[in-house]
Amino acid sequence: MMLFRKEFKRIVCSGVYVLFFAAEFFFAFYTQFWNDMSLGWNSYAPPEPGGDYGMTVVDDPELLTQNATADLLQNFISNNFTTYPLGFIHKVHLKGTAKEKLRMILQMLTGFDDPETYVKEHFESKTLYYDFDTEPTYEYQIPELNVLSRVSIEDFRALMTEADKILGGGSFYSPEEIDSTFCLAPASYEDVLSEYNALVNDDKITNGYARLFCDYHGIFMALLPVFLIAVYLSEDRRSKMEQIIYSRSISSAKLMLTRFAALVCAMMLPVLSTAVLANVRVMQVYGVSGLDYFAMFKYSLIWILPTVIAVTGADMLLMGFLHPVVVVVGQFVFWFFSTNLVSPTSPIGLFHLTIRHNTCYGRQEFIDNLPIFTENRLLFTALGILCALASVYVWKCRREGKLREIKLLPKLPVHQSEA
Amino acid sequence: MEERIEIQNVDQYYGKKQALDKVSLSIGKGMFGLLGRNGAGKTTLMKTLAGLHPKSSGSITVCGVPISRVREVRSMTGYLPQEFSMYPSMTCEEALDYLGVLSGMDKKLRHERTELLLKQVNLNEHRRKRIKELSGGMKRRLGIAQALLHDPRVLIVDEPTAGLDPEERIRFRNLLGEVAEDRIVILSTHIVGDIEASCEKAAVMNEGKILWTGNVAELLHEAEGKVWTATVETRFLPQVKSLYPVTGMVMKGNETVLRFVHDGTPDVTGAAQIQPGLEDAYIYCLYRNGCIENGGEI
Repeated sequence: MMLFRKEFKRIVCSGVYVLFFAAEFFFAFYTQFWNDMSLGWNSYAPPEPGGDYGMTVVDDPELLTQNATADLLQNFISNNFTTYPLGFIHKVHLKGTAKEKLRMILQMLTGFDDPETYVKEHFESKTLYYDFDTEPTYEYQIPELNVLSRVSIEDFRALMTEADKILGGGSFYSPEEIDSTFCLAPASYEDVLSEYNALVNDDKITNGYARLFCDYHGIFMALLPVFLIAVYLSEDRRSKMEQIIYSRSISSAKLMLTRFAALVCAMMLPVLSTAVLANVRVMQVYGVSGLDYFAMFKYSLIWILPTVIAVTGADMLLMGFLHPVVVVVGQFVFWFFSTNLVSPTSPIGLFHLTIRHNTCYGRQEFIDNLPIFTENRLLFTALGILCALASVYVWKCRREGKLREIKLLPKLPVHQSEA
Repeated sequence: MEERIEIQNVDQYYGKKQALDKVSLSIGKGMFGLLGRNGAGKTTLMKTLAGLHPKSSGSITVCGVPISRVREVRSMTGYLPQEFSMYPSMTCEEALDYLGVLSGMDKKLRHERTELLLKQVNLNEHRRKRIKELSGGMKRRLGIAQALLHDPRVLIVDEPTAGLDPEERIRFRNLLGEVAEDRIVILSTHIVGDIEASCEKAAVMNEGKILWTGNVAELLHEAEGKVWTATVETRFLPQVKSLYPVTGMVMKGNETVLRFVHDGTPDVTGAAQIQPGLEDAYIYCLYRNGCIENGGEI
């Protein structure tokens, strides 16, 4: 316990921790959660009948098949598709076999032998825009296609998934995006009222806001810890204290696992501190009665703590044999792609480090996803602990001179070669 | 338990380069000097004894405990590396307390030992000074305090006086002498004066091999009759240096008083035998073992 206290103090009294705390507070809390509530982005009062409640995803196969097929057809005719593989915008223009495959999919969905010619000859069009060196792009008024009279909804989804693959992935026809893009309808008063009531009565308000709170913290906690870990773990060498520490009688397991625990606790500090402020903010808006005062803390522990454990364990392991700068860059790249792969409304995937739920509503959706959420969080917790245990062995080897850092960046100053 | 370090036929490699070559030593209580050029393998041997480097072959026991039982060995060993510092923002007191925790000492013992050692190394007044505010000599003294913190039976100090001013060096050597009364102290250095002033026993290392080991007085004895002095015209200096290993020279006008080692009678007019110093004896040891060409720059 004494060692834990000393390591914890060493972390929280360091300059890099102050920066970490400030960054976490500013980016994950102040500019996101706090600002959302300050700007009135969320409607705090119960909905009034007859208002505009925005759009919502509905379960309507007719709507889905019509909108998605019409969009695919439109893009096929202009041969201009926009996709977002790994989060980056990408323009796709098909030719050869790929175009033929997509044509066959459209034939099955629409029943047109030659969809391109049929649409051009039979449907009304208007010029959409001119490119500098291509034909003008037309938007066609595509009527009811009755897709479900030709294929079942399951086959439709399979064909759309195939179309997404032909386009290289990351399109709106992918299973993750198709419903939220093509199956939208105006939200009804009853739906919105039901959501509001669920927030107030079932979620006791703070549980709903705790999910939003964790959505933001989860993004930044998948990245920011690596900077703290890199500076903290390389301090022994930078301070030329490594050999003095390594020659003490403490076991590698006790040293590394205590440092792991101290890091995890220190990293949860800004989350738990902002949870207090988040509670205060919710109280200011909704009043103090009927709230679950522990919700922010409960969600922080089940949602954010596994992320912190996973990132800390993995980074400690990697830093056993890689230069800290390499680990920081690697973690950044992983974070960038993993957060871009999931949109704010993406369903939870088992291997998603960052879990998104960018609303204080959606209680039922969250409850429906609770099994995969639980599996995901347990998986990352276990992974983090396994990595921490593996890091004990790696650092033990390093301590006994049996393992040297892999010199990917030999001239960087943090880990100097020994004389 | 036996107060002795036994090293037998120890080899150590860095890739293909052999850093230790069949090293065998037996080191008892008191100060033991390990003398050698930079790159002779002293630091490698020190790190191996401190459990920071694996050996490729051979055996090492520290006070009867095989080096493979590394935690036990570490608990009875204090190590002061060649290049070291501590977390710059910690005070002397905090740094020792932290390292005491890493040595598994309880609070009372840490407090007592910190108190005692800071007084012993003359840093009591600076106990609340941050590490970054300490001078080089103060850091070395704090270094010896941390190595002695858990009252080890073996103290390993690697090049502790390099870069210190003469006064600080003497103070440091005396400090080592005091603590060597009841434990094994291994002092690795390339400064002959440190060995001469503080060690009764020593070993000479070169290119990973032990060239000689024994009483320092024996090393001097072996060099008796092999050290010469002569006064030559300065213009003949290059010729003499090409023939014999020169250990000292003083310019006097157009003449130079030389000090050199040689096995037989040197071919220098007016050459006379003189009593060897330890520096001469060390150079003679290297010369006799073929580590210095017959003459030429040392």
